[in-house]
Amino acid sequence: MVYTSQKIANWYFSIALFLFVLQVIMGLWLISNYVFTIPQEVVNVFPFATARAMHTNLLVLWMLLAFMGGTYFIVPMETESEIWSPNLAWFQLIALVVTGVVALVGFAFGWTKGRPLLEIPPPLNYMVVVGALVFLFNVGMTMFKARRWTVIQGTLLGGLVFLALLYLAGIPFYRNEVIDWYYWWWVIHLWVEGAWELVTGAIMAFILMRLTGVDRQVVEKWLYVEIGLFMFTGIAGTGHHYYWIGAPKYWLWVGGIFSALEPLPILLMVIDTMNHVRHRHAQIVNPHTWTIAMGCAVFHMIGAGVWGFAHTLPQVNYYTHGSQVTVSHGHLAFFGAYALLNLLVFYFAMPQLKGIEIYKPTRAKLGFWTMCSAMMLMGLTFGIAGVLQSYLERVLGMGYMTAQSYMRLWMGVTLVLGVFFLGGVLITVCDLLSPKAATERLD
Amino acid sequence: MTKKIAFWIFLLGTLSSAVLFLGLTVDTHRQVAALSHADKLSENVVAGKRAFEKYNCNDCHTILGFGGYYAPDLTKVVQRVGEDGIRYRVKHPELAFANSVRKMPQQHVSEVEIESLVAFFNWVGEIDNGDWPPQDSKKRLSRSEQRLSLGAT
Repeated sequence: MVYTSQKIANWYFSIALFLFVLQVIMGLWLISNYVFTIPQEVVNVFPFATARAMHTNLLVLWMLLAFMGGTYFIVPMETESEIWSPNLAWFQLIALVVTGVVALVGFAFGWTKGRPLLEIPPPLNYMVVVGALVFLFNVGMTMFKARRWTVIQGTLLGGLVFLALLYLAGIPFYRNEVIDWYYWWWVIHLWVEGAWELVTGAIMAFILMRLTGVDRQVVEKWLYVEIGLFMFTGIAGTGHHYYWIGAPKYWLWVGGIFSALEPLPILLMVIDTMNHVRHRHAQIVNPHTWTIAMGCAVFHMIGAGVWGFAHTLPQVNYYTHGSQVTVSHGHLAFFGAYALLNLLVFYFAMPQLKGIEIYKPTRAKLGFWTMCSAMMLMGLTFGIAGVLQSYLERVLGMGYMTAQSYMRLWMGVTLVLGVFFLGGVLITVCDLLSPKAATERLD
Repeated sequence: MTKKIAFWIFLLGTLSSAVLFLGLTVDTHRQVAALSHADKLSENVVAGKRAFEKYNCNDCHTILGFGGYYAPDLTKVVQRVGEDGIRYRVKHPELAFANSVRKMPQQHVSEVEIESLVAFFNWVGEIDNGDWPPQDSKKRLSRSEQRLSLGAT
């Protein structure tokens, strides 16, 4: 670490990790609701809906904080300068965390906007916007003052601006439910298959460049191609959410065709990552960081690419839409593409921020493989439940709860796997918060 | 391939997709009024949508297939359980789901809000959405009808 203002990133990462643990605990509560009968008295006070709002908002909050922390870590190295205003970075962190805590407590008391994933009510929305604007201003000023432009930081800033702009589409109240979902997906889809992919591309490129010593020109060239393909397939690919909402029929064609192409940029990212490592110029001092990078690329491909493709064609989606198949895809994709990306950044940055160049990877490996195995199996068990649901409820026409009764076993297995996943997360978080230097192994 | 060509791939890829998407967005706005019967979108229906959001129904139930997967989809709920079925379930979930393995919270929804919810679900059920969800499709034969059509006795 060269720049002192980068230290702020450590706070963003630590809080993000804490929220990640909370998110997983809330997930265990949610899956318990599928396995056990929760008494009416408990349901009246703390319904599934409230826990789900917490689970998903914790996800969004920890990922955004991780992206922001990652940006505050990367931008000084890319611009070769300190962050323009560390105080603003502090202010913004506090503002967002306070907003998040108020929102989560508010959910428990029924203060919600009632739109899935976008439950944060209007006054708090504006706090999020202020936090995002302060962040973008601070990062933008750092780049502007340094006058050193790179494709990586341009992509990062572009992705973050895009991300902030899209959030605005989710704020108004729409009278028409069809229009409401139309713009809801501008936030959710264009985040995860647009803006967040830009951020991912930039971060992966940065870390691969630093990790392997591959020439910047080569890394940035492929970054352009990747993000070009992500944008080309991802923007019009939003159409795969418009099949059954009451939008015109041409979305079946547009959504189907563009979505079918969506795995391509992810595949390119996998090939790109492998190529950079094969042609590396520098010795990889922390091989486990590279393992996470490879894991992220492969899991991204399976979760977002393969699982997404599996139910994105209208002919299939007619039966799988809004079933546990979506849950399977959602978990694998978010974990593979974004949770692992953030863990990659954490493992790249956090030991450095604590002055450790080479970290002892024992706990890191245990945590990583536990999380990845448990999540992969969770993807399969959710998937089996989803296929059962699609066949029993949608094809055979069984009642909703009758179909659910056949899925209960698989939800029970998912609960057990979720406990293992939490174990992996706790090991990883402990390791990241107190990383050990590799030399200790010799003592 | 040079970096310049790569840049053009990025620019053209992004712009072409964005132009197509925004163009179709404009056209979708033109067509949605007819597809969703926006002329029947009364203040009562909008009040129902507000109540639907106020009680966070959408984080357990899906509607048009989106939301929580913990409880049945509500797109065609009127066709499935009827208006009175909705009223009973919302007003007395502790009775309606007394023997169910999954419960619905008692949220003390007011009579006025319940009527608005019914109006909202009536309106949503009429949206021309490609005959989704399949289990509520009128075009499909029920299992007994299928058996009959195959000549079973």
